[in-house]
Amino acid sequence: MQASIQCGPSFSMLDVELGQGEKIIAEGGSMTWMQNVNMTTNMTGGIMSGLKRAVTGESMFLNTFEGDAGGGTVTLSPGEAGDITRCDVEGQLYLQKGAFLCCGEGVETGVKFDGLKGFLNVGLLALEVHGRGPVWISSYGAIEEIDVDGEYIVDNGFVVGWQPSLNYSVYLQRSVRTFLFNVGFLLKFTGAGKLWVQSRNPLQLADWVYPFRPVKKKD
Amino acid sequence: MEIKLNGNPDFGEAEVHLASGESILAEAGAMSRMSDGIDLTTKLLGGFTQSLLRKFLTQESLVMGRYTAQQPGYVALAPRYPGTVLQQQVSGQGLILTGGALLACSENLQIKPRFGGVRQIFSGEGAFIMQCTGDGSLVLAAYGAVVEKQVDRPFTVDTGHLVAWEPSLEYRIKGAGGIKQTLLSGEGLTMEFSGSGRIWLQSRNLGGFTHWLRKYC
Amino acid sequence: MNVDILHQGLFATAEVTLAPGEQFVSESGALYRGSPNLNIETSSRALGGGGILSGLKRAMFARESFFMSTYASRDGSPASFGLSPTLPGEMQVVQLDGAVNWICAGGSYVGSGTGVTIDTQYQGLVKGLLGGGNLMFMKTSGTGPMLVSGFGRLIEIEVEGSLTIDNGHLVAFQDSLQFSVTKAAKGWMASFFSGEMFACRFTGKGKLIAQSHSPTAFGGLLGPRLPER
Repeated sequence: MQASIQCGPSFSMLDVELGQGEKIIAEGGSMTWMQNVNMTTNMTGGIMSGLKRAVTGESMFLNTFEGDAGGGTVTLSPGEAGDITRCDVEGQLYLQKGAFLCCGEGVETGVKFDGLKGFLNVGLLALEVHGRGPVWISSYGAIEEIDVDGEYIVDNGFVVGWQPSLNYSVYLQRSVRTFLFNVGFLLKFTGAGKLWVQSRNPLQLADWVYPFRPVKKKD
Repeated sequence: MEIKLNGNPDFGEAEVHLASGESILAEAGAMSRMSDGIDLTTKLLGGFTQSLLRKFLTQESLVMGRYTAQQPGYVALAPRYPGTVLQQQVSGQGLILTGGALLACSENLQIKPRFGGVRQIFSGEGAFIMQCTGDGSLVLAAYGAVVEKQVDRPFTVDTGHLVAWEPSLEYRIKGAGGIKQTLLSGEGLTMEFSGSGRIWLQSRNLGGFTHWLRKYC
Repeated sequence: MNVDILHQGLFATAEVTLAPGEQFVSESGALYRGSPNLNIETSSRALGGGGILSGLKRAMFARESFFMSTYASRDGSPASFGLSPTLPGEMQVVQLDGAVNWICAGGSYVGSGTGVTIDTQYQGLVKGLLGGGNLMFMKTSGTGPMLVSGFGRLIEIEVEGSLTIDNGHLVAFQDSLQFSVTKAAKGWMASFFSGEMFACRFTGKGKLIAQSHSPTAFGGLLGPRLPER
């Protein structure tokens, strides 16, 4: 299997060449175009996994693409504008909801919900990925890989993924009012490990688009 | 008339430089800035009925703006979404465009809505496509980056990622497999192209973007 | 104080480095990452028209945030932080020199050094139709760096004579320019149907920063496809 990232860094797509029988597992809806490849849909891991994935915001279903006789190609893209990065999983990795694009066969997905570590009920709903193999993550905006050693402060809407060797807690600010009106809140990551950060915040975008949404008519 | 494309591939815009008396047609609201001496009037391209059909079926605006230069100047045109803007010279067999892709065109082109195929109604992109013929310039706006491919073997594309293709290509509209696959896979509808010809694809689609954004709303 | 623009292009961000004792302000939502010794103080700013209530309404319906944060180093060594706007696009640093003021339109103001005075109640002289179709302005004066962002590419234009620009594409301009709000087309019907109802016509001499794409146009495209509120 050969995969390359095209059209980066703003509208990245993943071009995957699959030999006969080789597979890649991708989020539902990410197929852009394909040639000589078979697609099957399943809820990998059974009903519970599917439901859990629905809660985290990933599509409920995963599609498996398998190369046909003679090999084929499939090009995948995420919904948002931004970049794609490859992470090689050895053990575990946590991803923010919406960040998962696709993975190789040796990797599986689960769900981890981190209850609130602050006093507002906005925990980081993370998708947990484990196994051995490549995972491709998508970001809204450019992606920055940061090697944390000690401490690092990040707004929660900008977090894409992190290694389990890092811990995080809500970084309290002086003024309580900022929690109520700020779109997100700041997290302090501690420990040593890799952190992936994106350069735009989907929560802020959702906030910005709010006045343009149709108004529900009251009966 | 000279068309300069700036800002590709992220925020493409077309800077159209017009000599005295020259004009260009553009979709409503496309003007971002213009120099002095450019008059803006409106045109119903192809007549009222065709314009009405075009508006409802392909999401193009009812009325096109016609920018005419009284003195040499320029008008900069931008689509509503970020992406790549491309220019194509149309002649001979013409070109087929998807709804919403048209940004601007020279006046002597004919752009007619055409039926895309029944099931295309569900793809969320509009059931109709546009056939463009005549001799002139066409400026298209794609959401995302543009990939141009020469198709010679059967090629399957998600309908949301199509911008334009040559009429020499034939296509079938398919679901993603059986009924279960179509509904559950999240892939929506696809088109399988066969024959030989060029096809222009975009690396994002608005349906995918709003689907992603909904998670945060 | 250093303000650097990173990833210029589709998703630009700004990285600000402060020496001990220096301060920087920005709208509160713009901060996305920072060094652990960063001190953040937040306070409210009423926007154009004055009063807390109108400020709240503005925050609900439009672009400028209601809260602004002041950043400084907490411990006597340099502190750094990253600022990011909401929409995809470029960012630019405008160096104010005390001689010329810059007016920022809509949500384009991101942040500035403390030598810059921000007047959020600036109404300006909005001559023209119907209050200018909802334009909101912020006046910046003084000296120091001022950070703006746009939806799309930022295009700096030296206006000499006149320029017509669609409202949604205006980012910032020097106040040496005169502007009035006009309809871009010749007739009323043409203006309405062509979608170019409100355009700004700038005359005089001065610099203007435009953005290649219009946030209101993009919002109008996405809105109907999203769930009702």
